[in-house]
Amino acid sequence: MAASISRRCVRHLSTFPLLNARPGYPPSLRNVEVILPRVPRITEGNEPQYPPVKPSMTSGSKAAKQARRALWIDNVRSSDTPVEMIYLLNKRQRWQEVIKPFSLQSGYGHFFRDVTKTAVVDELPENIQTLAESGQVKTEVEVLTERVIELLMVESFSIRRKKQHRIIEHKERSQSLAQNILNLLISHLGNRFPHLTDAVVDGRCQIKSFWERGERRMQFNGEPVCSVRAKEPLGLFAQTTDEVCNGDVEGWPYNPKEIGIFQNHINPVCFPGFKYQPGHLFPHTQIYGVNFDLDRAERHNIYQEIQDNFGLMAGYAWINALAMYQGYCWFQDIPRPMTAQVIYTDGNRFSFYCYQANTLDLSENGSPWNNVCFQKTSLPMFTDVKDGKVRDFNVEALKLLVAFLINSPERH
Amino acid sequence: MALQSLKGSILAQQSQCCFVLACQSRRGYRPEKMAQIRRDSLEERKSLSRRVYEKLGFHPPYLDRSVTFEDIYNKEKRKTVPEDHPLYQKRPAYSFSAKCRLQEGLNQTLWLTKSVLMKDKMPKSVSETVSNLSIPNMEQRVTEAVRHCRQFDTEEKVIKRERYIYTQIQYLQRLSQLLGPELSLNQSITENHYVESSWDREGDHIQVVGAPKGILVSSRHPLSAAASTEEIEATRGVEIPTFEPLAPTLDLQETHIYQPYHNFPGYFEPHPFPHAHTRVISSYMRWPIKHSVSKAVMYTFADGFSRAKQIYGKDYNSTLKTPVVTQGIDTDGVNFGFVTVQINTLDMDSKDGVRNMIWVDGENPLYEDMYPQDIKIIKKKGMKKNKRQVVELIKKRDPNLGCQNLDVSVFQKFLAFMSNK
Repeated sequence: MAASISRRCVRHLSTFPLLNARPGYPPSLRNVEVILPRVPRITEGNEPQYPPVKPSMTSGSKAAKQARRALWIDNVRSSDTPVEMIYLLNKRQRWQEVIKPFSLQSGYGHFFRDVTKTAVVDELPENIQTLAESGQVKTEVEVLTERVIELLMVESFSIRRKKQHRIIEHKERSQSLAQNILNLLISHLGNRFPHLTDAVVDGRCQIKSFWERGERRMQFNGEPVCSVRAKEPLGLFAQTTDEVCNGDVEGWPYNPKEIGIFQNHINPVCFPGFKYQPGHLFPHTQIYGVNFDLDRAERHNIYQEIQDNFGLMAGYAWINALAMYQGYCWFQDIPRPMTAQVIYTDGNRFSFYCYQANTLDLSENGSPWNNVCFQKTSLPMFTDVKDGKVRDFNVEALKLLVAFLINSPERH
Repeated sequence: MALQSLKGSILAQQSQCCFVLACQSRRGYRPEKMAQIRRDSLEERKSLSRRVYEKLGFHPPYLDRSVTFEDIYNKEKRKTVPEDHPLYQKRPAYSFSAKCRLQEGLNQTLWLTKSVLMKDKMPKSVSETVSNLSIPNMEQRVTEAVRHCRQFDTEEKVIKRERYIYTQIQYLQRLSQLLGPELSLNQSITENHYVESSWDREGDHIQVVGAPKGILVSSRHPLSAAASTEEIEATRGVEIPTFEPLAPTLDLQETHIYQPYHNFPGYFEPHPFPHAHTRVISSYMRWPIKHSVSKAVMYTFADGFSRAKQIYGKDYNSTLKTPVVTQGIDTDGVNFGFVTVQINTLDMDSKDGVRNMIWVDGENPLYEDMYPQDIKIIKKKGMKKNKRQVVELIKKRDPNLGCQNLDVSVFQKFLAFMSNK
């Protein structure tokens, strides 16, 4: 009686089957600490007379594998140029997870938070909230509202567009809106804020980056509409002594196959939109368009989650790729945190993400900090376009856009 | 049971022919025997479902298709045009699309648009301001633009032509916004803008249709006239050269299905930027200059013509009080061609009257192309004339040669075009 009740009380807290739940699972894939042989303490009368026994580099023993890995890590840390470092990291082919942050299972964002060790905050940081309500932004927004309304009308009503499948229509509409708005703002604000004219703007490039978390290697492939890079880094959104940066991130012990993230066995690629070129190596802002079936996502009530996870992964992957071009990786951590801003549009709704990467070292005993992502999801810019007029234009979305671009890099 | 017996009888027929076709060589057989073999093998080549339908006597569904073998291979039937189409017209129209290469180049465009080539390469109001325009750190910025587009854009070794033209146009257009805040407030940019215009030219109906790859810059206010009224009157009655025995509608596509006298500037009203300012066309195909420049001329003319018809009305066919001016740029990534078109009349049918004007400035290289080319052409003995074997991708040249002999005056001309009023 008691046994049957206890069995009924056991519930699986998720629909996914547990990975590594069977007892006969191979030990190499468990997070096992390496147990070294016990060595006695060295004291005055106990000094060794012979040098330590080094393992041979060519045998298949556990000690030899550790020694080879240690040699590889030393080579990575002592490489002269970042191109050499990237070659040493990616010259070996391994099984890796290819990440596209879209799936229709609810609660899949837990995997991304675990893999990049991030904590999520539901508000934008204080720097940007004060900027958005300051006098500078108000003067700009007064001049720009008319122009942006005209742009919205042109994009959604006036121009003749070829009849296509609805998924392709959504894509093209969001991408053209994103590009035109950014071009407008950069050209208009560039006369007064010189950091925008000195910056480099990449249009429709591909962003690829890879990193390791424990035994897994991840590869991210993204295609933003526009990305702005600056010479100097942006200011911090949160200090490293805050509570947010010193917390624990829960693990997600299930198989990523359940979400739709599959593996491939090929060399990973690090490409933040351009070949290695010294200068302009810090991220500023990035804007993404829609790349999937919107109607299907709204039917499953998962659109908000998709947006959040997109911003999170895009922020981390971009920072990771640019940090590798500066010579930092998960073996050699960045000395000070790096920040980036990501915007995601739909043609109508805007969502804003501020990502701060405190570490690239994602191992268990690596660093005490974790990464942070500030988010604000789905601010609609307008509700409808009818009879040649845009209805219910929302000024807050414009204010935040302008604040994101005005946010100038500061010197540390 | 019935099906099993059917199947058995069909397979039995098949097995009778089998032993004959098992022999690989059939050279020694009599012609009567060869005919019999051919008749028997027909049955074997049929599918089982077809044989079942024929045996049972039902009508097979694969014969109900609308397109039959004869429709495809009957050449006479392919050339005829369906007269039941609601837009079918008896008189054919000659349409110019983005893939038309005119044999006579500029001379043919002059005849089609009833215009005169001016001696100057650019109108005076524009050529005077070229040397005065500048951006801070102009040379450094243009070299960075060229390097960014040609060298640092991919993880592969060679960047394709279509891609580097696209990025170059965007970068240079973004640099031109640094001249002042007026440009961003009075201009809007669209990609692959569609345009359609049609007119009569001495009895022939001519049409320009398409959405060529590139940018259209449209503005709130129209451009001012580039030539004075005296010069317009001087063009009255000037001879337009013909090139006999060639017909002037050579290389244009002939169609019977079209909407006559249809002019559409590419946007629906109300549009806050109705005047077409400049059209930047990317010629990513490897065409000689005369073909790419004539394409730019035809599309800029179509932009202005459709706008003029919108202002003055559909049935207006005489001289304009204020001429309509549009500009066009034709890029190759390296070479830039600058075109301005002034429309003085909408009366294209008669031989008399005032002519339109065209200024052309072709062959302006921005830099010397030291970067690796996309392709190289190989000709070896014994090679087929197939294009894939003759054309090969180059991957071995050094991309760090850099852009040499940069010509900043070409960029100043670009700025003058974008900031023209």
